[in-house]
Amino acid sequence: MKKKLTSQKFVYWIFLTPALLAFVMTIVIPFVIGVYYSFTNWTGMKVTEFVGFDNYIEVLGDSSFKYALVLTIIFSVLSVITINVVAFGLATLVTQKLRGVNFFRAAYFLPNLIGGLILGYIWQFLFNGVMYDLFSYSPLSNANSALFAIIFVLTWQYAGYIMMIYVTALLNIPEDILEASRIDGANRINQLIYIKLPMLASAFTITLFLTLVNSFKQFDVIFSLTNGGPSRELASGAVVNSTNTLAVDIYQRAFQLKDMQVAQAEAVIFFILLTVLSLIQVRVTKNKEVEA
Amino acid sequence: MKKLLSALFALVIILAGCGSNSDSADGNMSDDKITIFNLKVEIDEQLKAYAKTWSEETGIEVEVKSVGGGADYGAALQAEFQSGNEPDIFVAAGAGDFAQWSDVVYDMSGEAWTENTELEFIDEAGATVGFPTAIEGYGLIANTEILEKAGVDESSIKTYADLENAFKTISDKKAELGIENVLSFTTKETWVTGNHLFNILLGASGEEAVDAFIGGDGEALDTENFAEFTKLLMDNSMGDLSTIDYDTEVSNFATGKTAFLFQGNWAIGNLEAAGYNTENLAFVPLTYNEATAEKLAIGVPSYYAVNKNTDVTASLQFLNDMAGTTAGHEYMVNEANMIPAFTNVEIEPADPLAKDIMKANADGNTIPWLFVEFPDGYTMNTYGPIFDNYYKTGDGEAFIKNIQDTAGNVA
Amino acid sequence: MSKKMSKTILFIAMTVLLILWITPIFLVVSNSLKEYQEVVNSKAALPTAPISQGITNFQAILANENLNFVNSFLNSIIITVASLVSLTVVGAMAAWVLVRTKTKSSAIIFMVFVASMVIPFQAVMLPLVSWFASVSRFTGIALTRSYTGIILAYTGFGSAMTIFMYHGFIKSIPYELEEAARIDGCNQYQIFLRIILPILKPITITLLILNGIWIWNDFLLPLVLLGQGNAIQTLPLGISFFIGSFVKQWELIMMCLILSIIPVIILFILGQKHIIRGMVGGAVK
Repeated sequence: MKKKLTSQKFVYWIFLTPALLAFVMTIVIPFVIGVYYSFTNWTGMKVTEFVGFDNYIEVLGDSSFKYALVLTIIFSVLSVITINVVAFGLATLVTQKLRGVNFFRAAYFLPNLIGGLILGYIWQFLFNGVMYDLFSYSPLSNANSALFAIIFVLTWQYAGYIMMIYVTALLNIPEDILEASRIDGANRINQLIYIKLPMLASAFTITLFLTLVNSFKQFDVIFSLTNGGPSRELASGAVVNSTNTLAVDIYQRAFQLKDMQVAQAEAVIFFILLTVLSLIQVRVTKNKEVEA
Repeated sequence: MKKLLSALFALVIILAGCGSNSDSADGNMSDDKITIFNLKVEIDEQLKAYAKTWSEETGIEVEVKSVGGGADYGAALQAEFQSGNEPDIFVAAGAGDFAQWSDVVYDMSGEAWTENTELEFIDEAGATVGFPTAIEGYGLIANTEILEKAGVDESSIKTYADLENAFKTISDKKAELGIENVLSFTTKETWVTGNHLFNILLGASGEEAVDAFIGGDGEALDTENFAEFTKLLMDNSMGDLSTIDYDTEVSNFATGKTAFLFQGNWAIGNLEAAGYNTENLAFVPLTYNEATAEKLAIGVPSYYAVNKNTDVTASLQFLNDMAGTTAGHEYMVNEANMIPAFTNVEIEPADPLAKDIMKANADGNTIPWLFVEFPDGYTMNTYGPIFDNYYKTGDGEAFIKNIQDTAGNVA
Repeated sequence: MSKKMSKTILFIAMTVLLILWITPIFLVVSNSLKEYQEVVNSKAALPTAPISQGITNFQAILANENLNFVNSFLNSIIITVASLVSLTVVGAMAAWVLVRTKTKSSAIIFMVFVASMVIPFQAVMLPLVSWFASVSRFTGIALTRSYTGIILAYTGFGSAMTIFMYHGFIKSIPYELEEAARIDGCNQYQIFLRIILPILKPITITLLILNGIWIWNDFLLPLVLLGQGNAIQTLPLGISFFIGSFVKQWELIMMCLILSIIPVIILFILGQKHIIRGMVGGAVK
C-alpha cells in the first residue's frame, strides 16, 4: 500500500514537472523579475536604485494611462459582446444539417490564419486604400469609427476561432433531448433559449474568458491598424490619440519614451486589473452554470 | 514505463540537444568581425555592399543587421543587449536614446572623423558619442513643371505672403493644371506633423523660447501665426488627411495630382521609383513668420554609436573610413542617396533636393531639428493628435490652446 | 415555412457572410499580383497583368536575401512542429494528473497556470531575454538565438492555454474507464498512454491547430529571442523586412503572406475532418 502511494505521488510529479519547468522558466521567473523592476529605476540596462512605489504613483497620475484604462475597458466590453454574438451566430448556422457546412466552417475560420501584425497592416490598407478609393471614406479617419473598425477587424479575425468552440459544444448537445422537446412542441427559438443556451453555459465560461483576455491584451492589431490614432478631443479640451489601449500604451512607454521602469509598473497594474476582471467574469458565468 | 521513459528522453533531447544550433559566431570580443545594427531597412542593401568591399580591403568581417517592421527598433536593439549579443555599432536617434545607452556608448572624441564635422552628438558630459549618419532636410517639395505652368517661380517664394499667394494662384488654376489640390500632406503619419511640422514652430522661435516653453511658458512660442500657416497647408491639401499614409502621400505628388509635397529629401528614392522625373524638384521653405523666411529645416536624423563593451578599434576604423575615404563618400552620396554630414566630402549629390539642402546649409538658412531634444516619440504622440484634431475641427483657438497647455509637461 | 425554403434562406445567409469574410482575402491576393506603383495608385482595381507580375513578385520573394524565404520557411516549420510536440505532450501529462489528483496543490497549480494567461507579454519580454541569457551563460545551453530556447519558450507560454483546454476535456472523461483499466492491472503510465491519450485525440487536434496558428504567426517572441537576420529566423520576422520605417512594399508583403499561409490552410483543411469526426465521436458518448 505504501509503495503504491509513493508511486502515485511520484507519477504525479513526473507528469507535472516538464510543464512546470517550462512554465516557471519562461513566465514565472521573468514576471517576478519584471515586478521587481517595477519598484526600481531600471533603464532597460541596469538597476541602481530601489524606488518603492514611485513608478506606480507616476503611472496612476498620468493622464494617458487614465484614458487608456477607460478606453480598454469600453473596448473590451464591446469586443467581447460583438465577437461572441457573431461567433455564436456563425456556429448556429454551420451546425445546421446542410450540405457544405464543412466548407463554410473552414472559410469563417480562415482569417485566423493571418498573424496579428500583418493583419492590422492589411486592414489599414483595405480601409485607407481600397475603401477610400471606392467610397472616399475610411472608418480610420474618425475616433469613434476607428474604434469600431478595430472591433470589426478583431471580430472578423477571432469569431471563427470562438465559433469552433461553440460548434463543439452545440454538437455535444444530445440529439434525443432536442427531439423530445420538438415532440413537446418547442420551436427553434424555444429550443435555443430553454435547451441550447443553458447547456452551453460551460462553453460560455471559456469563450467569454478567452475573448476578454484576448481583447484586453490585444496589441498587434491595434498597433499596426491605427498605431493609436486618430485624434479625439476630450471634454476637457485636451486632445489624445484615440485608440491607445493599455497594451499599446505600455509598449509606447517602454520602447518609444524609454520609460522602462514605469512601463513595467503599468504592466503590473494591467495584470492585477485583468486578473480581477476575469475572476469576476468566471465567477458570474460559473454561477449561471450551476443554476442551469 | 519503458515507453514513458523513452518519451521523456526524447523530450529532453528536443529541449537540450539543439543547443549546438545556436549562433556561435558571436564575434564581439574579437577584432575580426564587427556587427552593425541598422535602423533603416531602406538602405540595407547599400550598407551591406559597402561593408563587403570594406571587409575585402581590411580583412575585418562586417555583419549588417537591419530591423524591419516599422517601430520595433528599440525593442529589437534592447533584446540584443539583454541576450548578450551586443552589437559593435548601433543607431541612436537622439537625446533620448543616448540617455538610455549612456553606460554603453564609447567616447569618440579626437577620432579623425570628428575634425570634419560639427554635427556629432555630444552628451551632457561633453563626450562625443554619436557619428552623424547624414544630414536631412524637409520643407515643401515643389513640382517645378506644374509651378512653371501656373506661372509661379519657386525661387521667389520666401515669406509667408509669397507662399500664400503661390498657393492661391495654383489653387485657382487647379482644373487648368490638371491637379486635384495644391499640396500632398498627411495628419495620419504623426511623425510628419508631431515631429516635423511642430519643429517649425520650435525652430522658428529659437532655443531660448523653446527652453521657456519646456519650462512651462505657453506663450513663449509664436503659435498664432503658426496656426494660420498650418490652416493654409490643411485647407489646400488633397484627400482625407487622417487616412493618408506616407506611400499615398508621396504617390499623389509623384503622379502629378498635387503641386507640392510636405516631405524631406529622403523621399527622392520613392519619387524615382514612382517614375517621377526628379529634375523637376525644388524645395520651398515652410515659412510663417520672419524667422522662418527662406529657411529649410535641416538636421541629423540619427547617429552611429560605438559599443564600448566591445573591442572598439575595428568599429572606429570602419566609421573613420566611411567619413574619410572616397569609397565611403561614394557609398553615402551615390549609393545610399544621403547627404553626408562631413565637410571633407567632395562628391556632390546629383539630386536637386540634396543640392537645395546643401545650399541652405552653406548659407546658414536653416531651422534646427529641436524635436530630437525631447524624449523619443514624445512630440509625435503629443502633438500628432493635436494637428489631426485641428484638421478635423478647423478651430484655431483650440489648437493654440492645446499647444500652449502642453508647456512644461515634459521634464 | 417549408423546410426547403428555410434551408435556402440559411444557405443564402451563409453565403453572404462568406463573401464578407472572404473579400479581404481576395483583395490581398489581387494586390499581391500587382507592381508597387499599381498597388499604390489603384488599390481597388483588379491587377492588369496578374500572371507575369505574380511570377515577378514570387521571384522577388525567393531572391530576397534578408527574408531568405526557404530557410525562414523551414525554420518556421521546425519551430512550430517541435513546439507543438513538446507543448502537447507536456500539457496533456500535466492536465491529466491535475484533474485526477484532487489535492489542494493541484487546484493551486491549475489556478496559477490559468492566471498566467492574463500576463501581458510586453511585461515579461525583456526580463525573459536577460534571464535566458544568464541561464545560457550558467549552463552552457544556448537559449537565445537557438531552437532550444524558442521551443522552451513556446512550451512555457502555451502551457497555460493547453492545460486549460485539456483540463476541461479530461474532466468529462468518466473515471470508471481508468478504474476498470487499473483492475485489469494497468499502471498509471499505461493508463495514460493506452486509455487517456487516445481519448484526447479530438481536443489534441483542436489544440494543435490553435497553437500551431499562434506559433506560426507570432512576431514579438521570435523578434526578441531570435532576432532578425540571424541564422534562425521565422517567416513573420522575414516578412517584416518589407515594412520599412517609411515605405511598405505592399505587393511583397501580401505575396509573402499568401505563401506563408498556404501550408497552414492545407493543414487546416486536412485536419478539419478529424476535428468534426472527433467532435461527433465525443458527442455520441
